[in-house]
Amino acid sequence: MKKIELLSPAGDLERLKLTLLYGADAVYIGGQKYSLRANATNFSIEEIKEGCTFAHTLGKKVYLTLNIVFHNEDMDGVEEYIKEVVEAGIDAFIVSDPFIISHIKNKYKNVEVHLSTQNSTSNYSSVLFFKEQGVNRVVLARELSKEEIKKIIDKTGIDIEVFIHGAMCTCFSGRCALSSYVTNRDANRGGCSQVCRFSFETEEDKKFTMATKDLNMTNYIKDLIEIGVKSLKVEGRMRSLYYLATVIGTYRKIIDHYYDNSLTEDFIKKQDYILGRVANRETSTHYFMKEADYKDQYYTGRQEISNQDYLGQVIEYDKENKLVKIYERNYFKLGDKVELFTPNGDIIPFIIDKIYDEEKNPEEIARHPDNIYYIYLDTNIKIEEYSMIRLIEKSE
Amino acid sequence: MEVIIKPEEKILDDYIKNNINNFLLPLDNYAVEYNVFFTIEEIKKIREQYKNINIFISINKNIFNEEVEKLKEILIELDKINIAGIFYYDLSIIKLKKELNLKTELVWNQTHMVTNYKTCNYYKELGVKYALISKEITKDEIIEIINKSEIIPIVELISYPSIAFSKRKLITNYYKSLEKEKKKEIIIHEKVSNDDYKLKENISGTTFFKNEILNGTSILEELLNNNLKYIILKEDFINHGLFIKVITNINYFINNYRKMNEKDKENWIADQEKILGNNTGFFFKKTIYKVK
Repeated sequence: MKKIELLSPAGDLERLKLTLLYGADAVYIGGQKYSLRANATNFSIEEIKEGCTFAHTLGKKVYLTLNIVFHNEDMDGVEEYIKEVVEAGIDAFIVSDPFIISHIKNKYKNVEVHLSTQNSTSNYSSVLFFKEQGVNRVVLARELSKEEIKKIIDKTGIDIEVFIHGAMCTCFSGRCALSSYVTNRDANRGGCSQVCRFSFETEEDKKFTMATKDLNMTNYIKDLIEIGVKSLKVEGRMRSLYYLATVIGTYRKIIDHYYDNSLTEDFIKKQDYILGRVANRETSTHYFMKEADYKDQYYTGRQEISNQDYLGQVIEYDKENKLVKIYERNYFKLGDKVELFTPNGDIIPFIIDKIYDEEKNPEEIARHPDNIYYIYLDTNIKIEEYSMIRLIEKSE
Repeated sequence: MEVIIKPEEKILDDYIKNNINNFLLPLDNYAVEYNVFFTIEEIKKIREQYKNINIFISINKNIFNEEVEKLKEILIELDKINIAGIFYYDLSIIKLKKELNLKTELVWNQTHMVTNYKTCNYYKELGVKYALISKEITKDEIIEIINKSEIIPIVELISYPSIAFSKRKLITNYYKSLEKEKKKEIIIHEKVSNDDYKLKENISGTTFFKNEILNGTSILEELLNNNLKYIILKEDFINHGLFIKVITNINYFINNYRKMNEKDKENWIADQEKILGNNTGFFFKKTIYKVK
């Protein structure tokens, strides 16, 4: 049985490799032009080629976002760019402009076109319109309920992709020019300055805010699979390696447990807890089970919480001396309860009882981010590249 | 050049007296980003009463599954009463026009997404006759679209510009957090840019408007010289007396600009700025999107 696709964001080549190793079935990336995250690192043509080769070796896919709202001048060179990207090996384009959709479909029969959420497609009739234009998959608007998504799937027969995790817009995608008016930065071409997270004065005592909580669909993956969704999309091309490793690894486990018939309430709860720890905002399911209301927003200004659970990225494991070599990311000390987690899905809980600096001098505390440290760990589990260590409980 | 008015008044005599015969009427419960809406009964009454005007209808909200069947009924009803065109956002309307074999023309009105001539031409090939060009592009970009697209472009020249739309009831939610009775509309002030925005909520969601009139009169001559066929003036939130004066002034310019000397034109523009302000939006200001 073909499993539902887990689709991860990848802001650069390192994130592409990491998220595929952590269990994503496909990644979506932005090129250095025409993507709605204009200020992410993004991929050169050479990096797209390398990323596609890496993904295809694993039997996985790469989709390129070409989803800006084109101005006249943006059209210059886009056809040549599309040709270069197709030759680099891309499996699909994510597009919002119908002219671009028709160009790709007419010229490149072996490349799929996925309709971007930027079109805020919200009903079966407009999905059918795009199906007739040759679109292979539609990324639906995020303002839809479970029943609405199911009806669209049942009435159209086209592959449907929905967001399951990450930041949410306040307004309909594509239907917001707040960033243009407030900061002169065009969100429809990738320059969004997130004005919906600003606070504004009114005649009332309290400032007006409209920032939304993040989306978290941990508890409804089973529902999404069973109504026929084809792809589960995580938001966040500009998110950290730690965030992506945790989120993708967690959803991978949930999906696999569903197909193994071993998905229990307790298991979901545990995964939800892990995702809660890596989140920097509170989360909600927004429109999926009911109309989004006042509980799905913030009212007291920006709410991002700084997360200090991420302790380090593993460089290598010295089996002989039982030492894990890491780049430190956040402060940790002797006695801290931690977990090392791997792309393969292994989790190794342990208590830190020996720390060494780069010269192998013993330390009690690791306090310098980006420094190299060694931690003692006796394990037979294979510790691969991109494994990470996170805090579970601080020692006294 | 013809002028389309989006009126606030339900009786159209004042506008017709001032030589307006094209109207945009947003359909109640199916349009957003306006202040005053018209029910289907009101539209039929207007059609009946004013035989010689062109009526465009705005059905520009995002459509949801449960609305599709009702939308079909509405489109069929409108098709029977000789409507000049439907301003649409949701692409189901193109599909439904074909499915129902309707004769009513369509106006591509995806607010902030009508930004290049190639996509305009793409929609033209699908049978769309007009496009309301986005307000967030420059005058030069607009002129390029006018000259290179085969669709009939419309430019929004005067309005309190709509700048965003959310399905969320943002005013309701805000007042719930304050534990106060909610208002129908509020003004929010952004400190750094020192700008005000008006929020208005209805059953479909919340619209954001810039709380400053967009005044495009300084580009009118260039639009005329490039043979633009239609401009649209939206009355929402504008004092009716002032709006009628603006209509008179614009009609005067359209009919007389070839006979006016440069000084007269400059004075005319300055006079419009006195009554409308000098917010030219993005006509002369390009947005950026890469900051590194």
